[in-house]
Amino acid sequence: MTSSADAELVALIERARTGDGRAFEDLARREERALYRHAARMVGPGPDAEDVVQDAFLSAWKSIRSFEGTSFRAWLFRIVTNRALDRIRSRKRRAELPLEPAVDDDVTWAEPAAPGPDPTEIASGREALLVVEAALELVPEEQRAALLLRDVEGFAYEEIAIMTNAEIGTVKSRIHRARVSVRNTLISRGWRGSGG
Amino acid sequence: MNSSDHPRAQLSAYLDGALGEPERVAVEGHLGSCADCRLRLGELRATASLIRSLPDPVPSRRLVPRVAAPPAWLAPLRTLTTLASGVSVFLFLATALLANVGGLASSAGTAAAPAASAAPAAPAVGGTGNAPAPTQRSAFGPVGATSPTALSAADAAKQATAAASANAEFATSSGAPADAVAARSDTARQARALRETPAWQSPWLWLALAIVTAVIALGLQRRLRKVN
Repeated sequence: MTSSADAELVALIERARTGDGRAFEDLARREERALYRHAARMVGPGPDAEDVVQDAFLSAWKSIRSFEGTSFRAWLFRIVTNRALDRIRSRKRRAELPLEPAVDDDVTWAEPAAPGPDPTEIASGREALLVVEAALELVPEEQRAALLLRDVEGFAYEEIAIMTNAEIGTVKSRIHRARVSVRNTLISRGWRGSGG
Repeated sequence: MNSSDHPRAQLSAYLDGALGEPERVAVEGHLGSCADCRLRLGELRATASLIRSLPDPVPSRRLVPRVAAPPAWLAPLRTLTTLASGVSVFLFLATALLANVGGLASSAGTAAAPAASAAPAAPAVGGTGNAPAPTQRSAFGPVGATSPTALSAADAAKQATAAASANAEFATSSGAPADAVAARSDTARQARALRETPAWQSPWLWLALAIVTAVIALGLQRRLRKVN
């Protein structure tokens, strides 16, 4: 990002903070797609994810004066992540499913893929992506949120810690578990890790 | 080899550059001598890259709420268009009603018209010395221009009526041609009457205007409501 774009962003944030709705809408539009992408991978694509983002925008606008950080984008992601987690929890309560059991510290690794050609290998990149999507859905939501914020949105561990109200050690562990879990699912489906 | 000898739990953080310097150096040292950890690191890197390359889902609607205050002229414009729509509906009904009444009047008028059309012929009738037996030519032909006359308008009308009735008799006795001529001039007159109706008297104009202004008013109303 150029410094003039930075300056423009800072000016927009300042205008939004002082109640300029148009500036806020402009800022929100810049992150709309990314926030929806995040929400969709958290709660599943569709109206639920759209509601999550829309509610998050409204809540952001209502509390815009309390925004004091430097990263407006991280602030929005924080709100969307929290809304998405709330939604998942309320779905679970409604379904009266037991909450995830506390996971112990051991991360279970499947054995690495054996070298050499394998007939069950995931044939195409497209097929691998479908498996990745399915694998992500199996990851517990807090780990998934941390992993997506890291791998897709590119946030630093420290930012993710602030966004998810967690210790940095927790963030580190969540990202690692989630990544290993997706990797295990892929391997179980015949993926050859080194090739991807 | 025991898994606790391998810094497996650090691999993701190592990949993300999130380790402190001493830990990073330790992991790097281990990786140099452990093919298994290198393989696992490669798999994690590939996993992260696959997750990054997932296609973006796209929302089906606009998710950014309108929070900007509407321009100051929006509310008065809404009121104005609402009023305009109401007035247009009234004018539509009024013109539609007038058109119906007018339609009745003009159909009555066409019935009376043949008599009136005989009026120009009257001077000609007078000019020829009150000839008692007007011909078809003198009744309908272009003779008015060539007949100087001092008859008053009332006399002319009276004579015209007389001429018309005489002509009617003549026509009935002479058969179809006169009827045909009368019918043709009737049609022409109606067409002329339609053409000459001013645009503002057309109910359709007002109906269209009512619809357009109503749509604008509703749109503005929605825009105004969304903000609150």
